[in-house]
Amino acid sequence: MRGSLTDWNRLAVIGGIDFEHPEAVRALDAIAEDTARRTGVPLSLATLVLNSAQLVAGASRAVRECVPVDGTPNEWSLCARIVISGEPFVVTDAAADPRTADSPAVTMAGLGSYAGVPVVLHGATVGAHCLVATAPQVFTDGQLAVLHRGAAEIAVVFRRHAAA
Amino acid sequence: MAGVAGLDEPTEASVIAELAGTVGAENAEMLWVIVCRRLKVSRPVTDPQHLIKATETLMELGDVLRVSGRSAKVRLITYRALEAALPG
Repeated sequence: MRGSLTDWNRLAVIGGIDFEHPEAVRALDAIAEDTARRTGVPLSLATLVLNSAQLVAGASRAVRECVPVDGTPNEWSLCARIVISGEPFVVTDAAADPRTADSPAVTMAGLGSYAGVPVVLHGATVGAHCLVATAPQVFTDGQLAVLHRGAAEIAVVFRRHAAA
Repeated sequence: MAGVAGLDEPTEASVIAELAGTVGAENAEMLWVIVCRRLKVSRPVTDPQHLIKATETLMELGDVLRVSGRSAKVRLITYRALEAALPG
């Protein structure tokens, strides 16, 4: 489902989630780590796309060890594109792909490839579950299936930590 | 407005503008006044630490404001991290 980054209902759904609760963060980190292990791609994230920035709600160990900040502005966020379109977004060679070549995520942060799928809660696309690599990479159907399964698990964690 | 890595420096005005995108201009202005009173800081808020504190205070005011405040805080922290990491 397509969405606007500033849609009130979408932000209200996110606002109802206790997304910084330590138990939620631990569970989301575990899902991202599991995705990284199953796909063989070390950098995996569970993101919440807020109105102007993406928050890393959960991440694999490799991300936690090497990324010093807990989010990025939405201008840098490929997950934000997923929220807008409501569809998975896959880029095999980010520097060569006209959709991403100019993105600071590519030119500044060195992103080489990306695969992400929507995380949907109460009918709203609240964020994404993604894999990031520093080199160009083709993502297989099997890896995308792991992402979809992880996204469903992330939605369960958000639901568990959401206001009734 | 000074920028780093294509990112404009977050200011009081930009934080209020982002907030206005969620709650409307009038409410955003009113909320910012409340936040500044709580923090006992005078406007315009220019100190980056005060701006971060303001976003944290905003987060305490309600669910959607928690989202807007957290979002603004990510932008402030990212900008400061880039500023510290990049030459010039």
